[in-house]
Amino acid sequence: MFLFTLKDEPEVCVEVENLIPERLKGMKVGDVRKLKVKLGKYEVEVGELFEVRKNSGEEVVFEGLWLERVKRIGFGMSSGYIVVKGNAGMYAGAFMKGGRLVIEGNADRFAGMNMSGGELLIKGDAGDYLGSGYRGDDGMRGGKIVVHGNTGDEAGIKMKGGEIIVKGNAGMFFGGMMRDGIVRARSARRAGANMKGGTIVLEEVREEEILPGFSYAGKDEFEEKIYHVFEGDKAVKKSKGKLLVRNLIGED
Amino acid sequence: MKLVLKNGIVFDPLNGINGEKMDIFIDNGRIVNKFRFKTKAKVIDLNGKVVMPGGFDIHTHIAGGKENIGRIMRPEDSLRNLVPRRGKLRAGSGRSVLSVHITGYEYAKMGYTTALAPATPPLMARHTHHELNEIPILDKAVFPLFDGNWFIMDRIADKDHDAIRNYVAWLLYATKGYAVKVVNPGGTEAWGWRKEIHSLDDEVPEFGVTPREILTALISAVEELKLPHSVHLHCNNLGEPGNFETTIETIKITEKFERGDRPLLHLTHLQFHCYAGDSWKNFESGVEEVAKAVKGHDITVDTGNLMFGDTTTMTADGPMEYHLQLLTGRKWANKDVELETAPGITPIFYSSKSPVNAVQWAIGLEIPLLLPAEKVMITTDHPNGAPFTKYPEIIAMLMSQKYREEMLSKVHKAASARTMLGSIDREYDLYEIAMVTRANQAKTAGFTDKGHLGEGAIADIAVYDLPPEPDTRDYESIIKAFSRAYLTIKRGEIVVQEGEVVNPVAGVTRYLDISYDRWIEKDVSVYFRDYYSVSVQNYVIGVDEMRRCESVPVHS
Repeated sequence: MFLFTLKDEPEVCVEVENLIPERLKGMKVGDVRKLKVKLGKYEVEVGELFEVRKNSGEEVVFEGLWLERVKRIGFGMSSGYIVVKGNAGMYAGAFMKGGRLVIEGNADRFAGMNMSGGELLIKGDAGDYLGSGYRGDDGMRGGKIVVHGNTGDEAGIKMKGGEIIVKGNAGMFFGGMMRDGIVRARSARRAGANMKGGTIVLEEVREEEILPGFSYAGKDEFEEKIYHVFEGDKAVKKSKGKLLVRNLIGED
Repeated sequence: MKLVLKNGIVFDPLNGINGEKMDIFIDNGRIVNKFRFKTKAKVIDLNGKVVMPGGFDIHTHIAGGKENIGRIMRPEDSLRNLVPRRGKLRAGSGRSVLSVHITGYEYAKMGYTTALAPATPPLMARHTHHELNEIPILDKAVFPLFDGNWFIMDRIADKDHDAIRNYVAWLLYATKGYAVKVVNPGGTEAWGWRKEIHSLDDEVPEFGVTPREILTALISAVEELKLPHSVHLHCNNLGEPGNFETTIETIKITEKFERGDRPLLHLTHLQFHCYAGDSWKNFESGVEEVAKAVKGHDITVDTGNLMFGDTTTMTADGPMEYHLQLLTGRKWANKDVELETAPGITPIFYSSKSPVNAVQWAIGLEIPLLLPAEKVMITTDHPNGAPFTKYPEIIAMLMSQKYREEMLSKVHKAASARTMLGSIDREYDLYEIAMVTRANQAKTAGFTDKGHLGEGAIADIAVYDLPPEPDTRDYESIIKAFSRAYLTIKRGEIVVQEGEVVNPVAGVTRYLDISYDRWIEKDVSVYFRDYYSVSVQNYVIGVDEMRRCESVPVHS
């Protein structure tokens, strides 16, 4: 649909929640250049910061340098397709309701925050708070996040639904305070602290990383593989959370 | 600046002007008689647009300690409304807990020019004044809280009436306050001792006084001091099913007093105090009984309308907020203010699918529809019932029966079954709307130079792009007109044009110029020595701390 390239490194981060497919649909390049984006506390026109070009495909593309200084790509989008050919700044795919957002590099913190639908694919690493809630808010409610690399701390915090799949390792408090939904990673530390419901699936965890609030409930089959099942977090009343671990690595 | 507004259709209830085509002459921030107006001036032809006095909000929590806690505990609320800097306008954020500058802009866009901050713990008054200093455009005033005050409760137990009256005067002087606000009298202090107060005759532990005694003492102190505004009361048992009986009992307290030249009591956010039934299951409207009592007594009320959506509740009624967060399971903060009060804050989502919320919404509309327009004022108890930005929708609901019917068909059926809202066909006209959104408020608050367009009044004017008799079935255009004022004029300056703020002038804070007998300082100093964490020297607020202020003389 459109192709955005930053003309120069912006002095402060740019916030581009206006540049989502449903809003850009059917617009002319000249009108897109006149849309407003936020630069710090000011509003400026897209054309001042970005080179805007039309492309033949249906997708909105961000490419070129300094994209890690572009925040809120795909913020609140409900349909369409966005591709980021590089690293995305904070809040990529936050409040997403539908559609598809692909980040070919890394994503900064709070990617997929408060997401309620759609699909977010991060081909590099994700920062902290992947699929979490904004400060003070409840977490992700639906949709799917896939990360090919690793993710930082507190991914899936306060999650209420949806799915997060991390192919690499997750940081601390993976799926903390979860209510529902499913999060998966190769390994994680202190997973599921204060979880009330939902499922955490890990491939490999050191025994001492299982929090004391979890009790062992034997082995069970999950997707045709045998997993150790832990239930918890018992620190929360009426908790029904499940922590599945394929390989438990002992201390010796 | 001299300004003439030509050919406007004027609605000015305090001067009895109902939709007359008139010209308004403004000189030096005041409205003047045209015959004294000879020099050249800027002329604006309004071409039949509706002209009203500037909007006046008598009860809105826009500044103070608990508002700030609300901002701190709700970053997610800020995220949902981010306003960037534009020209002379400052940046800001917030939907239910707005930052200071945005508060002024949003009010001005709706044609409002005055807003009173109705509940400030005296110890937090300095903070409140500093915030009010920063709110642009609006004129403001502060009501300090007197409900759980140790000094007053001790003096009531001693039956030392002189000391109470003198202390009220001293505290208004010390906090640069404007009126006496009472919240859940005695209830918050009792809760601090793990006791609950459910009726007017329950005793506050350790003090041995009852809400009835506190209220009687404060009303008589306010009447003797001849304050411009009566006691501003948030009754006991807020938000509890069956509380309408407490409300009626409270209204009856005024029977003991002789009528002065203004009403004896103002009951605020009445919607939260009109509940019948004895549990949330058989919860229903008790407006009819309360409305009878209100009509029969010398009091005024504001509605405290509830609108669906997400908001933040904050009140100096600590126990009520505690019970509310037990129901919702959401985050909660309580702020104990030493010897004075203990406000609580918790976010809430009012759902149209919830029978309780639907009935609460309907009750908020029943009150203005069942009472004469002279007695009611529209508020949302911002942000408790809804953010103040919902006023245009409430105005449209009062004006349009079609809008109410459409809403009733969308919300939970309890709203039709347990209230009378569906059977009321009254529709407000613009004259009555002008009463309930500005004239009554200014009159009740004792702002004699506001809320009307007579000669000598402050030139606070709102112009709306509406026909004088709007089609009530087209409620969308009513909402649009009231949310984006065509013109807002503040003390003779144009501040809003076609719904956009163009000139963020500064507002003025009003306080009472009140005298007290010096001996009270000695009595009060005992409390500062023994209990307070601050000294009395640091407690009293000087006029120099208020950026722009006006004093209102009190002749007691």
